[in-house]
Amino acid sequence: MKVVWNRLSSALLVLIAASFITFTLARVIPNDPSLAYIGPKATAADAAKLRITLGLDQPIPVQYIKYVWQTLHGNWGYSLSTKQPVLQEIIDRLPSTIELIFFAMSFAFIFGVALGVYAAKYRGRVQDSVIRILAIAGVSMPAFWLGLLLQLLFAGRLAWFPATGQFDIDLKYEHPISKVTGFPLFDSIITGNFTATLNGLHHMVLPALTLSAYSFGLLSRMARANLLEVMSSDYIKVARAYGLSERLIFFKLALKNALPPIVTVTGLSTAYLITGTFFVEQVYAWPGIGGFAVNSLLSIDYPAIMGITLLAAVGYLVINFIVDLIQAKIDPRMWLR
Amino acid sequence: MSEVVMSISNVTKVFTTRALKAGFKAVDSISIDLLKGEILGVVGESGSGKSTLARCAFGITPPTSGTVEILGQTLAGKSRKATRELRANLGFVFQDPAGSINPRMSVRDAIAEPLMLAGENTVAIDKRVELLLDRVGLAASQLRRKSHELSGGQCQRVAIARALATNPKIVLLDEPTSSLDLSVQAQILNLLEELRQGFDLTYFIISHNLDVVSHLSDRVAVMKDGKFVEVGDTKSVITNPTHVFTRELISTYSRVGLDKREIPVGFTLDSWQNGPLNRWAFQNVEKFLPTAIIEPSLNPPSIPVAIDSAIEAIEIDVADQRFTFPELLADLDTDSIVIMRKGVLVYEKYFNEMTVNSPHLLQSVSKSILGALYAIMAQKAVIDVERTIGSYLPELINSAFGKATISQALDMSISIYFSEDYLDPQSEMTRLDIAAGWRSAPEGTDCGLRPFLKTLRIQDEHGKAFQYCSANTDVLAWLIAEVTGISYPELVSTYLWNPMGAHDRASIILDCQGLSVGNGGISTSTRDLALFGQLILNSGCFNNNQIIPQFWIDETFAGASPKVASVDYLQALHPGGSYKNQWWITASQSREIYGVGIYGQYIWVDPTSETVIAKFSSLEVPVDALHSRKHMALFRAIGRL
Amino acid sequence: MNSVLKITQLEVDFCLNGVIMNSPLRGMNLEVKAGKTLGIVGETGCGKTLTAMAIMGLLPSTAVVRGDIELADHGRVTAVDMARIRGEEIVMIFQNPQSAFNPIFTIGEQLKMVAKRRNIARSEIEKLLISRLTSVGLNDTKRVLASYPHELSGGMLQRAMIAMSLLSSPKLLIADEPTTALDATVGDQVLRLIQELQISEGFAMLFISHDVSAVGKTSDEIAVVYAGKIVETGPTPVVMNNPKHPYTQGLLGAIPSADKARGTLVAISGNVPSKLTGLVGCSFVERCPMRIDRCVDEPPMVKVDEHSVACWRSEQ
Repeated sequence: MKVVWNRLSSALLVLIAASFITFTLARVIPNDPSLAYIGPKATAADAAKLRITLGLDQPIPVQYIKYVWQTLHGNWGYSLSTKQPVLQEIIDRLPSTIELIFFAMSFAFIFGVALGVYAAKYRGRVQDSVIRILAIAGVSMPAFWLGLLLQLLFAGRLAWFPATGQFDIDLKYEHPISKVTGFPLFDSIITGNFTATLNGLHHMVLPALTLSAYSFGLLSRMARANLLEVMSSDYIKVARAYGLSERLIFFKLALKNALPPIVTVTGLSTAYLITGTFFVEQVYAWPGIGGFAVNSLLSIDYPAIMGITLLAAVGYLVINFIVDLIQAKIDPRMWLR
Repeated sequence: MSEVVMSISNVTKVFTTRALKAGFKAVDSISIDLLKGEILGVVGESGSGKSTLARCAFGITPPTSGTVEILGQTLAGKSRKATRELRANLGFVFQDPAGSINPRMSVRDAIAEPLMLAGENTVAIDKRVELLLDRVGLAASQLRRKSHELSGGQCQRVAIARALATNPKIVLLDEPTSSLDLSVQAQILNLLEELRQGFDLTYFIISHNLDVVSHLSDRVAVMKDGKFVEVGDTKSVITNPTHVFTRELISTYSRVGLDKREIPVGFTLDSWQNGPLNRWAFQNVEKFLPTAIIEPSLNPPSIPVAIDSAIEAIEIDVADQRFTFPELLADLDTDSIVIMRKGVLVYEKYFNEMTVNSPHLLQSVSKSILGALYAIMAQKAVIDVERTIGSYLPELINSAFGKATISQALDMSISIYFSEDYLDPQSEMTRLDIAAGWRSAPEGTDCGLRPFLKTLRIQDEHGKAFQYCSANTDVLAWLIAEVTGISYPELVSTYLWNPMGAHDRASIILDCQGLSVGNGGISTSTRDLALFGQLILNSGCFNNNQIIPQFWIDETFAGASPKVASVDYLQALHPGGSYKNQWWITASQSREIYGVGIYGQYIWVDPTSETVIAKFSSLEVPVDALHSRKHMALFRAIGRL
Repeated sequence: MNSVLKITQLEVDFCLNGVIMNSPLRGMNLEVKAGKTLGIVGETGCGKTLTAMAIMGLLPSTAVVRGDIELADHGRVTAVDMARIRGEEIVMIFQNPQSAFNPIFTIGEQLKMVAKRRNIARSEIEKLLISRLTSVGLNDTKRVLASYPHELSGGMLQRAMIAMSLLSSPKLLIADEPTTALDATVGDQVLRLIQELQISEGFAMLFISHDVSAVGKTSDEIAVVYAGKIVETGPTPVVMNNPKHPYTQGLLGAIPSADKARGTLVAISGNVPSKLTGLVGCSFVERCPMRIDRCVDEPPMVKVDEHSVACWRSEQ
């Protein structure tokens, strides 16, 4: 339990640091955010007035504490460009992004680990080389480029999958999804709207595949390397010496030993996917947080940027915390660290 | 008197950790002087503080208190330059030769580095490196190599050259050969001696390898828990250690496993009890069977000795033969004999490598010790001997022992399907030996006394007839430990061996589950067994201390109730004799009682002549009527004297 | 005297892409007799462990093994046969108990996996484990079974490893430096335990060690290995008291003690040849203080008194 508390307290520290840094950066960039808020035609007097209203005349630490206080009370400020509450904007878009990340990660994990294990088993043979090429391609291809490539091939030429969007446009009228949790696919399942589910999954394939490529490559390489390392360890030699079957050794003993680093990488690359969605959502016109983030960046919409950054930091910490818990479950030595 | 090159006085090093508020004293006020040209070895187990001491002495870590003087000067409180100059007198060689050389450095640079730090010019450095390289036995061609291109021995040679670069007076050798092979270790040890003479060095060597330290050093200091327990000339410390810890250190060091050379030819788990293999085996059971120690008295009073030379002169007529005393002892394959008369040791003799202190297996004499233990527990009302065994050990409820009372077990009047035939491979006795781990188990046999004892079945009504059955005693040993919650060996030690003033460590054999083999697993020295007999003779009293309740001893001497049917072999040997409380009652005129074990183990208590005889033997066969008669004749002849 | 294991002309080459990289074993011959201990001594890299691994059939696929390995009741066996036999009739305990157990399974889980091989009823397995653990002196069986390897000391782990090796009733126990990684006292206890069990269980033992004094005391027969070959073998007391091969003599003379004058240890000069491929003649010739002209030819193993020696001068 002590370990859990240690992890939680260090997570809190990271959160404070991350929010302070982004807050400060947003304040020191030369572009005056108040100008963006009132528009180019405002007078200097208007601007000064606004600065006082927004509290921008106060010292940065004071502004920061106010900001934290407000944030904790659910007031994440108003987006400068959409003039809507930032929190609301995020809540509206986040579920779609989470669904996308979930599918991408599941795909990367299942296929990455499976192919990695397969490659380890057939080390040095053709299968191994093919998987290696796939993995390297996945890691090295930029997401936006891969996205365009897949779009051209599977949506354009072959027309197997839709090119953009989360659902077909007319679905909204024919089979509208009633909002329960805000997660569109999930809601469609629990409300029994399976037409929408199928349609959503169909739309999900290309963006999820694009997003997963990098993690897939990384995981398959990691799984292969770890498994080979474990297979050459003393305790596997001992297991062989005691006549345990190769099946048992490979699938029960070795795989479980190889898992901890794979879990770590899964966690890290999930965090990486959060930023990866920014590009993929742009390419596939996905109504998630990515598009909102890109727009906010371009328009220097600092309340939105800060909100998104904070969200990314929280997401990153939550994922790491979960990873740590899984690790400890697998490897009892974790509790010692 | 030689010059002192390093003087360590009252050095203490305390490590403080968060867990240990008070701090851990790794080195506890140690003082020692190093003389010029000598080799001082410090030995001790890991964690004894020897490394910390060396680090303090050589200024690698500052001591918490105390001072170290090197050539009459202290390191502390000097200018940087003066410190450096003083440090130049110190050299270091560590355990891991490859690890102590920077892998990116060539041999030349590694040796030259300390010289460069001392600010020497390149020409002088090269000259010195060349000299050192030659002296440590490396070719000039190896100058450009790096550590990974060298063997372990070569690396250590480089490390030694490097240690000698600044021309030090005192060199610390910290496990200098631990990671080397034997033949390379010999090369390095020879080299170290050669260099010591050539460069006039003083060595401070620390190692866990006693062979290395005793070979190399003039003086040796034995360290334990941060303190020196013994310091002295190496030869005398190694061959004649005074401190108990040094003795232990040396004995564990030289003891590597079980020495096969000791084990007699043909020794197996199935043959060890038979003569002549039992001669070695009975004195060495702890070397091949699991045992637990029975601690002797912490402060035993000495035994009064007054040797009676008349004993050796007696002659004994038995079985139509006349034996002199020594002849009969030889005839009975005696390992040792101790005779006490009126509480005074009047005779003792040891054969076949036995000594005053060496243990010998008691076999069934062990049973008599258990009997006394039950008397003590009965008096303390911990155990009620009239209750059934099943009421104490529910596991045995369905076995022969379930409805038998403890006193029936003590008197061997349990009716049970049990053949005590020691030579029949099918008998229950043989199976008992297998369960106890005294014989090899055939494939698929469960080990352990408990599961075996559960299988024994009742034959007829209990309490009617005497039936000698070793399993009874094993049940009782199990029961007494279970009820008291104290292990059997601890019970023997606490309630008998310690209070009666036993001198030597005794032991008891354990089965594979750690249960004591009460029927015959105890080994004691001959004198201690005699002391136990003396205690019985003294009605359980020793040093004004009633150790065994008197009523029980009286009851034992009185023998079993005549209502219990006897057996032929007992009546043939002792007309009217019986078995009571794990003792044999002779019912003769002199009212002797005794305990006997197979292959000729005896404790003989003769209240009339106040004689106690403890005798160990290694007879060829377990039981033989003639041997028994000869023993009786011997003991009675001694009693009559 | 019947033997449980007999090895004839065992050779191992390591090949990479068809090229022989090294030949660490160059014709090993040895025989372990039922219930007896054969001690193999030699320095680092002479092929002791490799011999054990070759017997167990545990060499990597890059190894090419030639020669005969014969087992009692099985005759000649291959690595494929060994996959069935090992862990059952032939068991092995390893140098480092800390790394020999899988770190993320409890000792109980690991022992159970091995026990399950033997088609024992579930209820019997628990009993077997407990009786085995107590017989190796681990009396707190519940705690040991529930522990992960990092929660136990090296000595306890080595005991648990011994318990694991005795779950079946092996005919041969291969002990590869079983005490090297342990403290002296603990090592002594562990070695004694193995020997006690050897007396009660009757298995034969192949005891591999670099510690000449330990092997000299605890084995019935001894085989001295140098550069992938046995150079001298015979009953232990005979070899220890009257070594014939210059290498054995050197090893025994190299043991330091207080009785030997400082600086006079027998130190075999030079090092073990690092590359054994294509070695001709006596492998020890470079370091031998007694070499003669004939040593350029490989000396055969000849019987001298009670032991066998591979040295041209042994007959003199």
